[in-house]
Amino acid sequence: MKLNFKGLLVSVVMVLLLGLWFFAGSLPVAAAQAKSDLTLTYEIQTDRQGNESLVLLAKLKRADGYPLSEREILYFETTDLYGSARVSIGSATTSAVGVAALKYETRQPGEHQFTVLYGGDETTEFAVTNATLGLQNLPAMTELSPPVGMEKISYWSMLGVGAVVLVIWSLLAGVFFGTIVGIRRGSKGQ
Amino acid sequence: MGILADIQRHVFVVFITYKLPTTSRRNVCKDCYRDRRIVSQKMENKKEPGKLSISRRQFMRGAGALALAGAAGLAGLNQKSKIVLAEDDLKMESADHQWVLVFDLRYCDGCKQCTVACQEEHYLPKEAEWIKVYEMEGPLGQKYFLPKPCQQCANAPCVRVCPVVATYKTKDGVTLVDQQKCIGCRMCMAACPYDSRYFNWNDYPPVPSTLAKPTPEFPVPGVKGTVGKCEFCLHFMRFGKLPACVTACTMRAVFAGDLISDIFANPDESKKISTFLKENEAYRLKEELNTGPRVYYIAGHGERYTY
Amino acid sequence: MIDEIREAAIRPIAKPGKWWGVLFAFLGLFVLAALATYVYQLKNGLGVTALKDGVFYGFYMTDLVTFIGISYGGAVVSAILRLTNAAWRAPITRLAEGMAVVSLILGAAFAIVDMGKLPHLWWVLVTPNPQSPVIWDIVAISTYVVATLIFFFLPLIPDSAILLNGSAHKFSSWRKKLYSMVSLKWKGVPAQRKTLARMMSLMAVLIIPLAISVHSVLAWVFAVTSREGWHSSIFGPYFVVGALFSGVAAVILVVSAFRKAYHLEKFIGQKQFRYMGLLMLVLGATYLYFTFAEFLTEGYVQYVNTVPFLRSLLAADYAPIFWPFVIFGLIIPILLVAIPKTRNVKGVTIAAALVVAGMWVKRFLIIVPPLRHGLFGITNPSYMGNWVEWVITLGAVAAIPFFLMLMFRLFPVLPIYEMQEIAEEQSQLQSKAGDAPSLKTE
Repeated sequence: MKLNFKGLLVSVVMVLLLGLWFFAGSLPVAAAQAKSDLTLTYEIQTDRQGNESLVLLAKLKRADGYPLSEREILYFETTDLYGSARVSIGSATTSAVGVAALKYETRQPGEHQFTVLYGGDETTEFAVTNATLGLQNLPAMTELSPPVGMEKISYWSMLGVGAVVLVIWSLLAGVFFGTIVGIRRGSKGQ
Repeated sequence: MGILADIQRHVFVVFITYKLPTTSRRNVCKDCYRDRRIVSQKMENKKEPGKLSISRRQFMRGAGALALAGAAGLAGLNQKSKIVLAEDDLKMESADHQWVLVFDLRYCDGCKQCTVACQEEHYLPKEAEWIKVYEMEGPLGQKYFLPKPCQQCANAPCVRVCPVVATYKTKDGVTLVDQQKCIGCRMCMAACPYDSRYFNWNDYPPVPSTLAKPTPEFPVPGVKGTVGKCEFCLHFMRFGKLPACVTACTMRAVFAGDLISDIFANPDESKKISTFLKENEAYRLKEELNTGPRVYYIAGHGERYTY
Repeated sequence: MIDEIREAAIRPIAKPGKWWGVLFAFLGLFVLAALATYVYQLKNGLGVTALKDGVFYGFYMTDLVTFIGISYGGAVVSAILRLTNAAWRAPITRLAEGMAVVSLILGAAFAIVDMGKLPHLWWVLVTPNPQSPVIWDIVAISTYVVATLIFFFLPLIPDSAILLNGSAHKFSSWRKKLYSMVSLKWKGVPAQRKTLARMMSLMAVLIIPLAISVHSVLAWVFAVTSREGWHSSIFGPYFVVGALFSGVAAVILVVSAFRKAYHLEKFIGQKQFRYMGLLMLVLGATYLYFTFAEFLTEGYVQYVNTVPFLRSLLAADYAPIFWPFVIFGLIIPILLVAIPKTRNVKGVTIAAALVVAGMWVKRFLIIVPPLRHGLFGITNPSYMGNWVEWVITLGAVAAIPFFLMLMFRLFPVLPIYEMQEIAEEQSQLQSKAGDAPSLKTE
């Protein structure tokens, strides 16, 4: 039997090429992942009713500038209240232009240390950014000790009662000393 | 001396309802105040019995400085003659901290470790529970536990009724009792809507000799015949540590926090107050009484704890 | 006539009788026991009483309110009856005012007894808090003490002069000194009489708002808290009417006792008892109405924190005390006075005794049950007072006759000058109307 060496060689090469293709397809995409770039800024937005809120904007884009949408960004703040800790303050999803917005409330203007984190997916790399933002012009939060509203009434009623008490004391003193003086004087006029 | 400084501070401030949150009554520095146990031990080791630890010249200088300060204080009193009501806005926004406690009732199992830890920390007698755990019944018969410390009301009825201003609000939002002024009339116990005040009917149990002298921020040992109550463990909170009840809670149901930095924490985790409370529909006790309490509760019946 | 009065008034001062010493010593034992117990309480703290964190106000607060309430009899007789020109009050004003002074000071003493840390009391002068009901209490009670003392002192001016000059009796030198000091050189001239009359009328007008304010402020110590059973707007008027009611009853008791002991039947007759009894009836009926109104408004709305307290008072553990109070402390005294047959000295005195005891019980029922069935649905252990509180209470009760007996060995038990003045007024009025003047009471 004559072997078709040419045909055999072609099929082996084809099998090898096929295997190589599959093999290459199963290789991790790391080599093909794009780097992602995450930045954090803030702005004060006003909604239709005129309410202001401070919003932390995290812009996520690929290294080549292509904005990444529908990705979840995790926000953290570093606090040193009971020891240093990164406290989760929420998460937001990037919009079509790659910007995630998280409403943030604080009573303390000035520098805050934030960390934003993007977990990455098959095509884009994980990214984490630390940013220190100097927050100014904060929208007002609920008052900590709102005035009860009775202050003026309490104040003036206390003063009024105090005045009445002083009047009564002076009347009593007047009676006591007036009696002593009056009766002593009366006995002299005899 | 302490009493003279008090008189200087108070004699022309007629309607005072809060005083400066200093422990000036005892000349205790911030470090001694924090590490009172350590420093008082150090002081005991250092001092020879019967001898002054400062030289005579230092003493005279100190006395002279005190006299000058006293005169200056009296002279500067006119600025302090301001009328302050219990309802007045205490400008707490400008404070550094505003302490809060948060109880997540979804985790509370009524074990009363908070009560025990508080009693141990303050060497309390058995019948004095500065944080009480009530067993409550909801509208559908479900049983849940309600740990109740002093609510540290912003508009506190106890402060309003005290005849000698022995109880007052500090700038960081905590209601304290000065047991050197309290006359024991118990009017504050009558006025408190939360039953959070306790009277020292008898002598206090013995406390270790290494403890520093009692202050309003840490009234241990308590004075017999005066009122004591939960003080949010200010001797911990002001120095970055958690109160006894927070540390002791086995279910991690208690958090201590600060409204100014908007963070609260327990030994395991920290969270942002405003988001957490809003998301979980936090409530306060007897909101209709307009007391402005500083203790928040997340409604629950212990459904989240697992052993 | 005036000589008769004077002799009757001086007799207790000079020759009180053999029994005086025995009774004085007997009462003095109770008073001493109470003082000793108080010293014991001072040393060991309030923990020696039966008070606890649940029921932290008990017998001492009840005593405070009761004793100050009893003192209102003086205000009623001396001030209100004076302003309404009721001539029949003449012989009993001294007894009423004396009782007012003694019970008021005893009542104020109970505020001291109830205090946990007495050495700190001086802070009230350094940093008083004008928003505190306790400060209102201190101001009102001290003002009222001063006013009552002034009111007691004013008619003593002419009486001391009468004692000194008119009587044949020899007084010891220190008494002479005392009377001459108090009499302020009274000579009975028209200028002096006018001054005294004007001052007494002014005091009578002044003491009425003071009296109202004192018991209102005592009521507000409870009513400005947010506890159910205490936080009620009726508490101010309720306590004032209760004080007037128990005060009139206490005056009846004191007048009855001293009338019998010092044989004053000639001057204090059926008329005084009948009219005082009627006054007591009106005030008692008002008090009954206020009680009903209070429980109706609480019971109808049925707040979750009110129901346990109201149930315990009306139907459960305190019902065996409350309903007997209503029957024996309110209904029976009202009936005793209303029925003409029992409206005599004996009947009115029995009614007055029931009223005074009943009002102590009622004030206990105002203070303690709301504390037992307290906040957060907690029921606190039962409170009935222990030996310390009973001894001090009984000692204070004995102290009233004790100090009154002492007082009427010093000052005349009958207001000689006032009786004379009122008799003159009456004779002027009657001669204008054409009737024969008469000083005798029926």
